[in-house]
Amino acid sequence: MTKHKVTIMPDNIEIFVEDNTTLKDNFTEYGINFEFPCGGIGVCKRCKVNIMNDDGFEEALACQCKVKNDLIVEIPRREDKHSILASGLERDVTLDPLAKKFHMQLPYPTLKDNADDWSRLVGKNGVAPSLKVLQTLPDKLRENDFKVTVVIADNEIVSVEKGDTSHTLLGIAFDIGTTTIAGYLLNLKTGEEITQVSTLNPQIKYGADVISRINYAKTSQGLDRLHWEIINEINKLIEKAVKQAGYSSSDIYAVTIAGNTTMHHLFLKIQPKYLVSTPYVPVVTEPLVIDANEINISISSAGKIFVFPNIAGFVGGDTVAAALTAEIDKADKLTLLIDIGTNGELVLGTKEKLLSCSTAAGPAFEGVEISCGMRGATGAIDHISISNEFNYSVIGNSLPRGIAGSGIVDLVAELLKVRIINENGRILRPEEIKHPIGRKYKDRIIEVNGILSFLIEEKTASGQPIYISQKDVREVQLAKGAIAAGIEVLLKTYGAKAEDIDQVLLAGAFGNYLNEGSVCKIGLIPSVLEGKIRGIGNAAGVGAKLSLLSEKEYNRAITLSKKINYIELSAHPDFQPVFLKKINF
Amino acid sequence: MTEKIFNSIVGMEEENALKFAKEYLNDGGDPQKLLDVCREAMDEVGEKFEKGEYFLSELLLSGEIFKGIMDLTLPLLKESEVETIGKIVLGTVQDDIHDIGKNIFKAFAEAAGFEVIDIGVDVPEEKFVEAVKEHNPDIVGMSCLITAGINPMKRTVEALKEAGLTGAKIIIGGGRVDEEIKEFSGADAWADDAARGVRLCKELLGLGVEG
Repeated sequence: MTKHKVTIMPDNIEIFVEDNTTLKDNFTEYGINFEFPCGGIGVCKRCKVNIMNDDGFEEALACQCKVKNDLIVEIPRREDKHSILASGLERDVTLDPLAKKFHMQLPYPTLKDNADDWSRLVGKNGVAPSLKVLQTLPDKLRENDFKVTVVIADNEIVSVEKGDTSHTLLGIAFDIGTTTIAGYLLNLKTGEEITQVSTLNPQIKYGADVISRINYAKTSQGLDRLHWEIINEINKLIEKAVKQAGYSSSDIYAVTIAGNTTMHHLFLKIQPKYLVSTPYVPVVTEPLVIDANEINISISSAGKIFVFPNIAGFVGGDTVAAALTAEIDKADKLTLLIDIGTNGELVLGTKEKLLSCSTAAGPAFEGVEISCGMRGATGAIDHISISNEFNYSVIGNSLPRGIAGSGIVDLVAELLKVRIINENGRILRPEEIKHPIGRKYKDRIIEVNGILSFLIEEKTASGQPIYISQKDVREVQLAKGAIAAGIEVLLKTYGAKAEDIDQVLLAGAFGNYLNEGSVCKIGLIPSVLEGKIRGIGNAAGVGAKLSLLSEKEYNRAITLSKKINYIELSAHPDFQPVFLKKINF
Repeated sequence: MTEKIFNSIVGMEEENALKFAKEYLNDGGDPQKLLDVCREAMDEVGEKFEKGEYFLSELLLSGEIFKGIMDLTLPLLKESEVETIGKIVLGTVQDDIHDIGKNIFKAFAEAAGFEVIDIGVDVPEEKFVEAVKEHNPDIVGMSCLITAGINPMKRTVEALKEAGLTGAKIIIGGGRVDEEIKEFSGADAWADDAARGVRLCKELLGLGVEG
């Protein structure tokens, strides 16, 4: 095969390229930093380079220009990059969204210049035409003096709009949790976050955890129902978000979806039932790009849905998104990422090697299946401390409505310290309490429906007392035991010890409010790691946002998903004995 | 002395329980009576578990204490004197390797007077069939923790039927089983904790629940 020498100026880089390949392909392959805003389909004309020939320089589009002989190429210096911030873990990305718009003023066709409408739009070697766009193209061009805006997503022209609409370009990133769905409406033109919306996952009425959802999906019409619930709720959230900000849902052109594998399958109406029998294989792990109207998501009819890749049956796109946010693919030192939601997913490793697993921790840390539990919203008790005084704080400083995951962890840790709960997790009866501070609170030990409980507050928003019951403490023990055992098995498989871990990144709503001391006191995370733990908020949501704003980040997530190896804990001989050890405090 | 033994079992004092039991037997105590005391103590532990006062580790520990005392006592009893109320073949079904639930149930079933033949974990249906042929139990107990065990339970029930082994009642147990899974698998009863499981086993055999 003939090779040609391409010299890139002004940096004087020489590369040797195959005959008849485009400059774009070679720039990408050789890591030459050059941008193709429209993805290299010939529309935006922003990848102009100068090619030197005998007569001097000639302009060409790097995405269209095929190399047929030795060349000298001059690429212009560009300084128009700008950075945006994503909340949660602060991180810069260059704005290069998954959907893009380009306003164009095309030359009128004449008898001399009588090229067809499509080539007028994209040039001779541009992207292949799509029927949907062609069917409305001629009138759109002619009704607006050949001024149109081209919408590009997934390297195709998804729509041509009349006039200049390039100022209106929104996207929405979704993190679909088993318990909570969160959506982030972003302005893809500026990178700004416009608003956030969230709600409980309405599928909850068919069961709190993924297993009960899957069981329901197996029943007649179960899958249809669960799929409808999630699509309907997402459409409602989209409507709510755009209304708040004075936009229309048709202004949204791209959606990213990060969810665990079960949520992913249900969102796509793919039967998830094989996830619960050995060997727990998902239907698909590859990322997907689908048309919004294919699954009835109410955004622009030209909109695309970008679905995150999965890793395994119980480690899904939400973990991939969280790992992207945490940049675990760049970690030099041993990093542990814990995403605490309804399941606890763990990723351990460095840029060299990454392992993951999923623990059936249950939703206790999200405040679900706890007597007075609630998610971390206004009215939730998020912190508790017990000393000579009993103090707690409430999100939004209102009367308390319930207790959030972080409050539950604090309370259990504090009750352990003052020995109202013993190391086996038992709430002591008032007469058994020996600790001097613990004794001050013996009147708070009450019985609720015959079960020993610790009273937190009587004066509440609902008038009903807020307490933690013995059963709740048992839920916490099961949840923390599962995660702690997962950490130990993962470390052993990796060949490392807890103290080798350089940083622990705790993702999930719970991570926002966590108290490091409490997390270690209850044994969720080994206490040698106290001081190395950082809450990174809803990292899955942030990952979905980053990807929406940057195609590079989206592609990075895909690479990352393939790099993370999976360990099946339910078949691991070490898991059960370690879990039993970790149940106690 | 029997009260001290009872209290140290319920109080999870493993060393004391074994020490007192040894002393009791050395002093010529009645081994049958010792077993009865242990059974009462295990009932008490089961009740405390149901109230949330005790948890998995206590169940396991009490099971170990009970086993320790049984090992001391059984050799002193003639086979004819060891009263059993029924025989159970017990295993964790294929595709599941978890045995916490199975082991706890085993301890409580033995404490209640059942003879338990434990055939291990990840047990394929043929092995259940073989064991039932060999031991002719009153009850077959199948355990699973994870949902992957649900289909194997159904297969095992079918395999027993096909082999014509319909004499034994079938009980399934585990955190994931419920009435629906019982119906699906074709079992006779289900339980998601050991105390309930043992109670149901007695009921299945038409025995009173007071003992």
